[in-house]
Amino acid sequence: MSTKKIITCISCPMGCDCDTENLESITCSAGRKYVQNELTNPQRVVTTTIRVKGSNGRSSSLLPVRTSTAIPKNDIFKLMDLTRKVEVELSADSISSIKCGDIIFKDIGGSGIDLIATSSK
Amino acid sequence: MNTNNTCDVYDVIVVGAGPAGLSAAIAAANSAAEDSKSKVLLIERDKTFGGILNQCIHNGFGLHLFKKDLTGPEYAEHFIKELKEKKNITSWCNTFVLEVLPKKDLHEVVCVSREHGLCTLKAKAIVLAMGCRERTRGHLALPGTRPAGIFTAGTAQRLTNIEGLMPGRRVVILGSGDIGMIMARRLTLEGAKVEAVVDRLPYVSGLTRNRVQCVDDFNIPLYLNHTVTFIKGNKRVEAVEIADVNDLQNSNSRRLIECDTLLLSVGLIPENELTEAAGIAMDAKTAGALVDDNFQTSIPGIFACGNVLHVSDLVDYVSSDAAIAGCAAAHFAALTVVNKHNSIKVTTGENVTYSVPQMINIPATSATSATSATTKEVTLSYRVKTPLKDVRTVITNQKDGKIIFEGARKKIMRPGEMERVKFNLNKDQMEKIEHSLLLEVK
Ligand SMILES: Cc1cc2nc3c(=O)[nH]c(=O)nc-3n(C[C@H](O)[C@H](O)[C@H](O)COP(=O)(O)OP(=O)(O)OC[C@H]3O[C@@H](n4cnc5c(N)ncnc54)[C@H](O)[C@@H]3O)c2cc1C
Ligand code: SF4
Repeated sequence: MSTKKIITCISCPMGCDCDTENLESITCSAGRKYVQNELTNPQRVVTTTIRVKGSNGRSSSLLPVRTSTAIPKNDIFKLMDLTRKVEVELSADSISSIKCGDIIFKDIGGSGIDLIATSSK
Repeated sequence: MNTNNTCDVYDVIVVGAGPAGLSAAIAAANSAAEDSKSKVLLIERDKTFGGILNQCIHNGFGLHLFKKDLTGPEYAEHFIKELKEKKNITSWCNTFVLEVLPKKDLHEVVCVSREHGLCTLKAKAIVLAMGCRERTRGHLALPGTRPAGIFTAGTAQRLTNIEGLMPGRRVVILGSGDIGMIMARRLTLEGAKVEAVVDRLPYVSGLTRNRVQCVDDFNIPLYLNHTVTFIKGNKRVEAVEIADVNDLQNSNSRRLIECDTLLLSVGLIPENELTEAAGIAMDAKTAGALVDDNFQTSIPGIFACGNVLHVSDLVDYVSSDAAIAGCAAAHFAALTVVNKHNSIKVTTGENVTYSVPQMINIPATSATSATSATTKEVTLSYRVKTPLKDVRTVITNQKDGKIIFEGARKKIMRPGEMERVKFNLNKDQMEKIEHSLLLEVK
């Protein structure tokens, strides 16, 4: 792909058009950082769901999760393949075993990325 | 009506527990009158609180309010936690509000649930926060057959993110609103092939950041100035025909896209059946109630906030406006006499589709009450009609044409992104504005 001169920053809803050839013209530091990353190693936070196996008579359901950090754009589909295969099991004794913010999977598939629950179950 | 379970009187009843309702209920509970905490009831028809946020598992919420990039459920969790800590809020889920009945003395709310049966509740003040629903195929009159495989984008989102069901494998999305674009990415990640996102406008109707991170990131073909002209398929969608809106008659402009699913992301309609049935004055431009800067509707003691008032793209503003509404509702409930005030109208001029609130209250006879605040802070939320480059917001006194506020020049304003301005009216200006303010973008 040809290198684009203008990159739209997605760090906040403003969605500024940033000139990649004149980083100095970007007045906002978050924007400058985003553009620099975008030019060298574009990264995204990925959100998805994973299966939760029901126990305690609970039916199985989905748990929304996010990656602990932004991951390289090229690794997104690899991560999706991994998350499709995993399933968390609610332990039978705990009343409410998953809390929003819990690490559900550490270092998923040896990628160094953790999956964080974004809702309580 | 036969009511079997008539309960006591609440200070504030909030209808709907999405981000707007949650924030309004918490604010109402916090801003209690001196001696006693106000009694608040929050009613939600779904089995959980949080409204639309529960199915919005993507990030992008809370950047303004929490300075954090949260997902929908995480954002909701903040408020649900706070809700549970408030002893003076009763919250019911699985309860459907059937009617809001304005009364001279105490307003009434009729609701039904398994647990409580059919009951009529009384409230000194009511906050309406029912959110909105999606426009469907019926609103568009799309030609073609009526096969399975046509969903609204929000329904597809619920199926994918909550029920764990894939709506289809090869998908065309009509409408480039935020839900449509978010679903383009979501379904791509889950292994579907999104064949096209189609919009009849020359620009995407949702946030630009969603175009970048949901459509462009995954190289999904985007057809602007196009619309779906025909749906093919017997039992299941087999293909859709799209065409250039500027050249609809020309068969060369048409193209057939094979797919098994068509998602519609063609706009939201505020859910105002309760509002209209209550006889509340509506604004044809927003399809929501007319409100003043306390979010009070034409009926004293009934307030409206969130998407039921006007469709917002940012939840942060929904929460902060709803907090004002909740607080004002609690104050109204605590009042014994109603304060007199004058209201000035906000009219929209050049390039502006609508503005909320439509009315601003200013203290009556501000000259006599020397103690009353000398300036008043006003926030207006509005949308522009078309994308505009290098423009600024200008607010003038319609009577003498004097400029009251002039915003900084902005490189671009887009209809998909709500604009907000905050400005102060000083005492002198308040006295001079007899009738209305004019809001323009130029
Ligand atoms: C797909 C999508 C993506 C979005 N992405 C973002 C984003 O990235 N960032 C962002 O900031 N914002 C985003 N938004 C916008 C934001 O989510 C909304 O503006 C916000 O949720 C509106 O809140 P609400 O409380 O008005 O409505 P809702 O969340 O719809 O809540 C209304 C509630 O009222 C209940 N209700 C309705 N009628 C009744 C009745 N008769 N009786 C009882 N209960 C009733 C409903 O069940 C519902 O729970 C997005 C919205 C959508 C749909
Ligand atoms: S450059 Fe700054 S203001 Fe503009 S979108 Fe990026 S973070 Fe937001």
